[in-house]
Amino acid sequence: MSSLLGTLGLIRFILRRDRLYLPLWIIGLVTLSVFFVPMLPDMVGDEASKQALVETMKNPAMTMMVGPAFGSSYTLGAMYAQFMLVWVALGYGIMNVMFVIRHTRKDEEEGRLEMIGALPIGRNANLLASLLVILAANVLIALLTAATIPAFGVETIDFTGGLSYAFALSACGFSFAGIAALCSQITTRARGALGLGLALLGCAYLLRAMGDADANLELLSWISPLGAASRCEPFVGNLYWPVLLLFAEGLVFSGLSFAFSSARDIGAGLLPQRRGRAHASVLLRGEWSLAWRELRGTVIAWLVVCFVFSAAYGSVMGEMNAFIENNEMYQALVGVGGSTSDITNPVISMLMLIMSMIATIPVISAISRLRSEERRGRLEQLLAKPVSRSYLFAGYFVIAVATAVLMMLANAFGFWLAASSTLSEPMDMGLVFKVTASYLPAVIAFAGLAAFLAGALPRLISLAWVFLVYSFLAVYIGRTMDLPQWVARATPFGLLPSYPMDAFDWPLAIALVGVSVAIAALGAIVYRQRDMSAL
Amino acid sequence: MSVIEISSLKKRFGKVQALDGVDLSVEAGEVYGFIGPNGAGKSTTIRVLLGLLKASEGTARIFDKDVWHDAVAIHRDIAYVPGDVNLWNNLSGGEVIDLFCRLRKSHEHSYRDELIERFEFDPTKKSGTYSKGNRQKVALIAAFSVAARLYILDEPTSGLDPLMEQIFRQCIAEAKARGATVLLSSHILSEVEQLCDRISIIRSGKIIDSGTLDGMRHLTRNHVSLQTDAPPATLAGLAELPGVHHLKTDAAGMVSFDMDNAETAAVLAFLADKSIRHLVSTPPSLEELFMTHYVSH
Ligand SMILES: Nc1ncnc2c1ncn2[C@@H]1O[C@H](COP(=O)(O)OP(=O)(O)O)[C@@H](O)[C@H]1O
Ligand SMILES: [Mg+2]
Repeated sequence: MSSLLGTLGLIRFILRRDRLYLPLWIIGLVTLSVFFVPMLPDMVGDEASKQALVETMKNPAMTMMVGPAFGSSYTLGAMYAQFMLVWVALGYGIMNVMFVIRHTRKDEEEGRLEMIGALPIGRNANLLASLLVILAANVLIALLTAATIPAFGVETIDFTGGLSYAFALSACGFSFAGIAALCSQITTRARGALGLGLALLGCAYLLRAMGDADANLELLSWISPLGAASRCEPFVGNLYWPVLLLFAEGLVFSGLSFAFSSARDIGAGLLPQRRGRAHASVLLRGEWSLAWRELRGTVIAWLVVCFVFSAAYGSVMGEMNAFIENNEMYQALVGVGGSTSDITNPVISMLMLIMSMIATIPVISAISRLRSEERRGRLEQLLAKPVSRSYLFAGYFVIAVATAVLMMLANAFGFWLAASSTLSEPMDMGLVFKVTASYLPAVIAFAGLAAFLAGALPRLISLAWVFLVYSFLAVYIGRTMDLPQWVARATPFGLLPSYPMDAFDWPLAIALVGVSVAIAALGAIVYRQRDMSAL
Repeated sequence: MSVIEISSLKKRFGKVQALDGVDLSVEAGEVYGFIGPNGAGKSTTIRVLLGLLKASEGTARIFDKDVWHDAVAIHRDIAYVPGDVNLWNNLSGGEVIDLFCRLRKSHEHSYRDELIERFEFDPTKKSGTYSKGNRQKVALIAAFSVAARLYILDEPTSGLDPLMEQIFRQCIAEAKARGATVLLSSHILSEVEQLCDRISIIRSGKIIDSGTLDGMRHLTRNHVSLQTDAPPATLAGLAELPGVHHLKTDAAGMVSFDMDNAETAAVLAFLADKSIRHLVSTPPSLEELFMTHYVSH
């Protein structure tokens, strides 16, 4: 066991380094997990609106998006678990992946592990210490969440159910810690490992979407940690063995990562390093092309994500139609002068809304890159050449906006293609593209916000991410349940009308884009005036 | 006209006063050494010169243009090598060199391939795999591939091996022969001693000494060692002479001391009739100069 010598010391070191980062994540995830419990009764409303909500939650689009509804009587608890668990589990997954890679491959890439390796400390001690800390953090999050949930005194949301809900989430999170530990053995770059880990998280979501949508494919949901987590049936069956399964998966992946870690050199990965070219291609010739070269991989990867996710969502449209035909309540609605599109339009609008928010991720990340280039001291060399700061800044903004447009195209195409292939007649292409386009101003608004922060308040650039998460929760919940209007309207996505149910508001859209460009320009002005600093 | 003209330059970072009134002037065609201990403010001065940091007070001009407002125009004619070269991991060294040359809007980077060969550099590896020295080579090759009017080099050789350092010195000499001006910040004093026409020493954000190396030596002490046939007692008065320090005598009759250069005549007059067999007077190395500045302040 000499390869694990010094683990205790390293644990202390990790806790000390993360004395702010870790508590913030813990508080953030616990808050996210329980936040809507006290509001639930009001959000659901009276018996009639509860019935409508039950129908919404049981329709195939919803099942595909968030997983199945469990239990014959659909209690508030069952509703809460179905409505929140998968999304919240994604947050847990992101936290676990980021934490593990930050303490393994990132430290290794930046040479910190080399210094630690020279101390009388075993070669796997750092990996073990990182995994133990994240395991403990997951358990702590689960205990805090379970202790908080019954305190709100909401009907059917009790301690036993809360415990199951909390451990389903944490166990799912830990399985991704194991996956991340494996990813960080494979690539030599922390960025690559992070991309791989998050891509696997995305795959897990897709697997469970497919498995939940089609009973014949339910095995896929079990393979996906996100699907397995929802099969704990919190507040209904309160099953514990999926929790054990998920922790076991995390341990198996961790074990594999130890095996790989023992077998390789420090700094090396399992994937071989490719050689580069001796001369730059004619395309790599300026600050914009360099920015594009840096962002190209991210943009392409997210194009694939958007296309595949939209296609998965689109493929549910066929089942939606069948569901409406067999559902008395919906048929009654259609019968009194309504049409099927009254029911499908809100679904398309909601799915494209979620996809637009996913499309916003690479947009923010493109602009954040400007800041991380500065932090890594690369801009210092660039700006020592005859390169103007405004031009550089504009390059990132233009790429971000172009990224937004590309992502939205991928969304619309993916959705339309898949929907058309599952429906008896092709989907109305114009409708899908118009719905998608109706959210573009909101995505551009995030580009503007991120650009403003990168220029004027570079240390606060992560606020753009916080605001995106807030927008997601506010709009997703605001559309399905009753929330005060301002909660959603405080975000660009909630501000725009829900097309096609409401008419598209051109002046508002133009104003939103105008304001975005203006705040980006303001960011550029400050950017020209400030120090370039790695701090 | 000076190529670089800095006067009363101050830079504050929050509570830290990184530069506290720096004056510096570098003339066309000279190689100027800029030395000082870690944290003295060398890199900060250079970043202000490059328009990366905005001066809190004072002025800094290059080619008689303001370093902040005319940064882009100035940068057409300068080449910069940072001390800590951070590259793009997914680009190869060759790609970065080409990109840097293109960003300087130069289409004749005639020296590129020759320099790659002289620095024994493999341009096909991804930047992420280069060692510190190799990353520095990327920046150096890019800097010297295109002829510039001014080279600003911030501890450019801290990761190079002695052979490569030799190539670097040749590059500086060639640039100088072309009539270029060089500002070289360094803590490798032998390098500065060998290359630089004039030197400034910075400490805690202030220039505490500048001039030619010879000029600085005049203000300081030489080390004298001598051997005499006369009995030790005859040299007894030496220690009392003004300007003689650290006098040591050993059994074999070897005497050594430090002598203020201003007192040279008086000391030699005292020694004239003391049966001196031989005498060696050595000027202080830059290192010793440096040490006296930091020990005595
Ligand atoms: N961006 C910054 N923020 C705060 N302090 C800084 C910053 N850059 C440099 N300093 C401080 O300014 C002083 C001078 O640093 P520097 O110019 O890098 O020194 P040198 O290059 O001579 O080693 C140091 O005390 C350093 O800590
Ligand atoms: Mg420095």
